[in-house]
Amino acid sequence: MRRLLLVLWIVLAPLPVFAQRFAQHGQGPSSEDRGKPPSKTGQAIEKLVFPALKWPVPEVGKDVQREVLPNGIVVYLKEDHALPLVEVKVLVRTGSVFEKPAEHGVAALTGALLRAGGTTTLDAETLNRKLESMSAELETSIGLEEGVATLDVLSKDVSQALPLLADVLLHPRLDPTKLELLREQYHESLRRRNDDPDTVANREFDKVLYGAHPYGRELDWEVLKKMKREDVLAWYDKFFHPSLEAVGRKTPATSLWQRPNVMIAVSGDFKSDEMLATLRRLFGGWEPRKITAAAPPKVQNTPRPGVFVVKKELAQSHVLVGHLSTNRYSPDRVPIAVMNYILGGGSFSSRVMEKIRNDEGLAYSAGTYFSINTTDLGEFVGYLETKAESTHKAVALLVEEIKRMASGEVTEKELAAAREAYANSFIFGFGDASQTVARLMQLEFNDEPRDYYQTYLDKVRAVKVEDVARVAKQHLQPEKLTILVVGNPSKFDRALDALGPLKTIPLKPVQ
Amino acid sequence: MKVLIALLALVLACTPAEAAPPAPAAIDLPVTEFTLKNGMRFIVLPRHDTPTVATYLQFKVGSAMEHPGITGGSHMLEHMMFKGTKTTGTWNYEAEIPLMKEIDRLAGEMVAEQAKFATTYGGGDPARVAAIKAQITKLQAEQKKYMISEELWGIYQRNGGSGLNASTWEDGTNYYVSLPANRLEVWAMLESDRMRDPVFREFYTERDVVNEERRMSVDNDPDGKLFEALQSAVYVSSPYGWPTIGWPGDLNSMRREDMEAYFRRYYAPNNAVAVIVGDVDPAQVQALAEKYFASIPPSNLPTTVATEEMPAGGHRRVEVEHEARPRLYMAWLGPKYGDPDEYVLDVIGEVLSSGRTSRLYTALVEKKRIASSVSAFNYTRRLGNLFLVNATPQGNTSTRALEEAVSEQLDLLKTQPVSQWEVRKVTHGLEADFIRRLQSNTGIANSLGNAEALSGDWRNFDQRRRWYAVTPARIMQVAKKYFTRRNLTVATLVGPAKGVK
Repeated sequence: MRRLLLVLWIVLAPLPVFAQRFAQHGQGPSSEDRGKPPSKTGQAIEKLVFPALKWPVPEVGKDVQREVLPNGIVVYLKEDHALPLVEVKVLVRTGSVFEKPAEHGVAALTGALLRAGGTTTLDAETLNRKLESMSAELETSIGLEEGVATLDVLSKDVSQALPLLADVLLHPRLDPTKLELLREQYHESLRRRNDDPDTVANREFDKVLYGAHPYGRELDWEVLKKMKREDVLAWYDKFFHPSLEAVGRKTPATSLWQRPNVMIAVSGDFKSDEMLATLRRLFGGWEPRKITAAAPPKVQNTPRPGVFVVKKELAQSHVLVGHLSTNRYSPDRVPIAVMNYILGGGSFSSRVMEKIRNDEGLAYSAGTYFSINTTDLGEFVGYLETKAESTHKAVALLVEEIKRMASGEVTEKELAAAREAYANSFIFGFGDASQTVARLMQLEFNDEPRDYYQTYLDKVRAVKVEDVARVAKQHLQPEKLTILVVGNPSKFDRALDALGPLKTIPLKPVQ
Repeated sequence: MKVLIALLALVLACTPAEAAPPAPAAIDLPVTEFTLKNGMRFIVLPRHDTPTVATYLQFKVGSAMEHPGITGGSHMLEHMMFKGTKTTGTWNYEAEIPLMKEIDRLAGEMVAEQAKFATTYGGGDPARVAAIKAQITKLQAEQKKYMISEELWGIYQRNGGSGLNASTWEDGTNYYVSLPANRLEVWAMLESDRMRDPVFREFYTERDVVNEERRMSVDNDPDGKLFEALQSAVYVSSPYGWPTIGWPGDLNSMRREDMEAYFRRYYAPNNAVAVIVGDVDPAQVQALAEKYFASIPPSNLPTTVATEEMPAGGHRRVEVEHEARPRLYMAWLGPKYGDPDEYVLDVIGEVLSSGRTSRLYTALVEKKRIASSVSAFNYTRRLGNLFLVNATPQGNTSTRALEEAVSEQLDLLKTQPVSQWEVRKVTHGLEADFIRRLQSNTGIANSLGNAEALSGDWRNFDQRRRWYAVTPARIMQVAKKYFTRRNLTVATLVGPAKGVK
């Protein structure tokens, strides 16, 4: 009777598809019940009076302590003694966006090898044994735009586990035999890259949208197989240092953050002054350096409209439609979120779900999202899965809903429901100390306004019908949609060229 | 939570590094439990860290209570429970009644016509089926005028509902949502309403949705497909042989009346457990429970299905053809639910595959490099345990070679005692995971609710004592008893059929 009791549950609503790249807050409602009278239960609930919720939005300097070490590392701390646990999260400014074409994969490989490869004084096996003896979980990874290290440990063991985290980050061994193992594992994942239609759809969709830009790049075996330990070491050396100077491209800074290269958030069962002293001792000697990395290439904002078909023997077609969009610095982020909520982000009562799932029974999973928590251009995406025999019909309905929203048609009722849902569920973004402290640290790391969360509720409540209409017109481009379908065209209800010029993407195996 | 902290700290602090660990002290959660007159169970745990509350409502019915012909019924009903009631999701229920009656009549005709397709002699007229379908669609559109679509979901969301969903598995069906703590009454109103008077609107459209769900999670998904084949090979007498989502033939002949009958049979307050964890006052929860749930009448519950799996008569193998690279599942029938051997198997699962020092990981992934991933765990359900190993071969390794390498590791468990270090590492790890699950209201609500529903006592959510009792000698004994060839079923995904494109 273990944790895996959950494995085989099947749920009513599919888990949100977004957040492969970045997270997003809440889910929401809406639905247009076109001037119908309310239900009896609905009326009774409207009449309930709720006492005010005593919950101040957590603030840096008040609920969360922020300190800067002399070498430029910024530390966030929050005590929480409910359970004998401590959680640590380290952010390092690096990422696969900085890779040159001949280096594809070095970031991911470095991220994995930091932890897997041991340290200069502890070989991998010894490190594993030490950590697992105290049930501590230490992991490292490098994604598109950041490196992350996490440590999850019982508070009684924190004095033994924290030095291991520091050792992994400051003195990694980058063991060549572990590099070989990781390389083989990446190779196998590439061989399996066409097993799952979901993986195929996301990969090919990003490739169409981003072309050769790192945002749309897949690991390349030809490059990966030549990668040496020296390449990993060079990558590590280039980025893994504290620094107070920004790395790479300048972002339109909206605040006066210091843009540290290394940040550490700690939450849980400890005393802050003691923890801070420990962090100074362990990380204070990490030599600061000016980090020089060429700015990543800019995303080319070229629309790639059309229908792209990837042929695979499937009972059900996987569909993604969308186009490039804005980034995290857009002043429209809140109204965009509210608009998307009404369109297809609000799960069951969103327009896309109501039309495609409730009315037509064409899909189990259908919706839209903006993946725009990026420094460069993100994407707007609509998704659905439907049986091969209704592919054209379902795609056409999805496109139609995007068009209707882009025309600016929205009701006060839909908007009110979306606003309320965002405002009332906001608290769940700060469920526990580790979530709170990580969120506030990320704000600084991302160079977003300091008061982002303090003003968030006001921004949500201020969204008007005109705002939704404006951002819908501006941020939805139904005439420029890239439509990607993974499926078996011989079974489609209608040829998809009715939706735009058709192109077939061959599915290549990796040997 | 304060009591809890003190006790946990105590347990962990007095576990010396070398000596055999003492059994951990029980956790004394400040739980308030009560049972309404109609038999509905409530478990309430105040936790005042943030002003939110997690709710969990389980009906003790899942696919194991079904029978051939209605497989998938429990899950289908879970979907229908979101379609409103006489007073939710509608502004004029009276006007809907005649429409639904007519839809039901037509659906009866449609299902009867479709049934004729099943035999070569029966015929069946596709045009007639299509015509009836069109009529149903028209009536549904008519009914929609009176409906407020997805109102329950919308109300929860407007009230800040988070983690809103429902799930069905073999032994139960769960409905869950977290709310700002000041809005718990919304939960009580909506849940009591749908427990009393649900109306299964848009049934035939929802059936199509569930078919799409099946295509996504089984037909299109190599792992889903392989696991379904494995379970139906492992279980001959047990109801765990059919998938929770149901067989397509059963799904497509299911009718709205079947849902109503199933609902009346199982969705009674005396078959339900509610768990509330968060910033609440137990007295207030009790008042809400009395106000909204106490008047729902109990029912005579049918006898619980107790069809256990017969002892395996011999080794079984099954192959699945699918357009994907090979993968492997191995499964051994385990002991009854709650048997002391169950906890030994839990520990064995951890010894084999938890973490980078685990046996299968070091042997198959790191040393031999024949697997890219491997996991082993004991899957516990009411009608018995099943020990599972799931592995993906690396490179050109055959599933057969991988299977042999796994068996080799299991044989080692039978012949050599597991080291004290491994046992201690694993029991500590299980305990740490247990504590981590207590971090969120939702995690606690799930643990308490599942234990209550399955074992009849929420206190069984804490199994640390049983894990701590596991010794190397017991591991050897249990490995010998269950990891036998006759007890083993193997399922392999073999790639697409040759010559088929």
